Amino acid sequence: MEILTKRIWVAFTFMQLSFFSFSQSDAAVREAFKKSYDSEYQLKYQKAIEDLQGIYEPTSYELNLRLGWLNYKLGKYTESLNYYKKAIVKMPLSIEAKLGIVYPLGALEKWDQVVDNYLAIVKIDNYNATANYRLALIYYNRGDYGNSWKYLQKYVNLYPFDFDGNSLAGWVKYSVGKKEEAYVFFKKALMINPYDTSFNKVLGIK
Amino acid sequence: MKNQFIKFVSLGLFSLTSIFSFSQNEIELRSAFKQSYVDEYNLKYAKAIEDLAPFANINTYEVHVRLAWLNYCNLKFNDAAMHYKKAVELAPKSLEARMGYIYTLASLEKWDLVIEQYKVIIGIDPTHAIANYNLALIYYNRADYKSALPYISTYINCYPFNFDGVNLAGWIKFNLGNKDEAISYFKKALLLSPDEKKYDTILKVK
Repeated sequence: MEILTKRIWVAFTFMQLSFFSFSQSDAAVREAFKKSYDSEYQLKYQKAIEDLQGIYEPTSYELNLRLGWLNYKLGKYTESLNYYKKAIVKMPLSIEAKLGIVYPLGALEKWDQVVDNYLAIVKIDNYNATANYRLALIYYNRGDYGNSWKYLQKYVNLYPFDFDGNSLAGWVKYSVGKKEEAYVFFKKALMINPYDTSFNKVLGIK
Repeated sequence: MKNQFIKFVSLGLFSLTSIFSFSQNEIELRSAFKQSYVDEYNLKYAKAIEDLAPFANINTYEVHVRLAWLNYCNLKFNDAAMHYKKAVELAPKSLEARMGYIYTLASLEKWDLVIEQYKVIIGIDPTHAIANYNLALIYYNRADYKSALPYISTYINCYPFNFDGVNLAGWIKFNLGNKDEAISYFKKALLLSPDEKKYDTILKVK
């Protein structure tokens, strides 16, 4: 009976240790993250990266995401990309990681890959505002007004009184020759930002 | 011939006026919006509402959304709710209006209606981050952990390294008796906010 009680106690203590406490490793990871936040706050990005290197685990979503961000801030875009890619492999449905990877991709001017990532976001979250607006903007800048409108119309349906949405919608419609529709959007944009002068020439405002 | 020419010129001028320029009413509306932004900036919400009063009965989405927001800022929640409701009726897919409506309903503590509106948003956009997180939070606060779970799961699938998400997921799991999973979320939360103390008792962090 005494042995059994001991065994139960040992098992319970073990459970407590394994389930309820912070392991040495957990404490080290937490401390490393803490240091890296402090270094980042002081804009010491290289130091913030080094703070995490001792605890780096290639399969950790959190570490790859954080290192993706810190390397981006440091201007090491290729390294940043590699970390973000690992984070995405680990968590394929993560929108935050895909929104992160577009920053180094944009900095490297890999616009096709930027588009791919926004399209991947839209597959997960069809009405994601950021992805839809930015896809529309990229396609507009490429002169692909059909695809631009495909994504923009979702954005303006959900956010009908948003300056950026109405402004871009106006320019897309204007570019395809639908001037009346364009003016409707420009006029809405001017209700939101009456100080804007970018439509003056088109609307004949002196 | 002369009459025909005059008719042609008049018609041309008419279409120019109707398509290319602002009507008197549009100019006045734009000016009213402009003035209302100035008054809002100066925190004169009642005055900002008055600026738009002459247009309050024209039943346009933009006017209702703006009046709703200003009434909300002026703490006239019933008036705000009335304008947001009309805006939502005019643009049923508008998330910006629905979110505004929800904040107003929350101020009126009409939580069942808040839930209803968030569910409408999720009907439009199933992975909408704010709607999923806030629904999970409301159900958690009602101690309805089973109902909270699917919404927080959707949220953390898309944003796996977000403090609010992993924190709430931890508490939901903890209250459902899934302590291992809860602790795993709390540990993630501590990577995001290493100085957080609220898990200390559960995690036995010294």
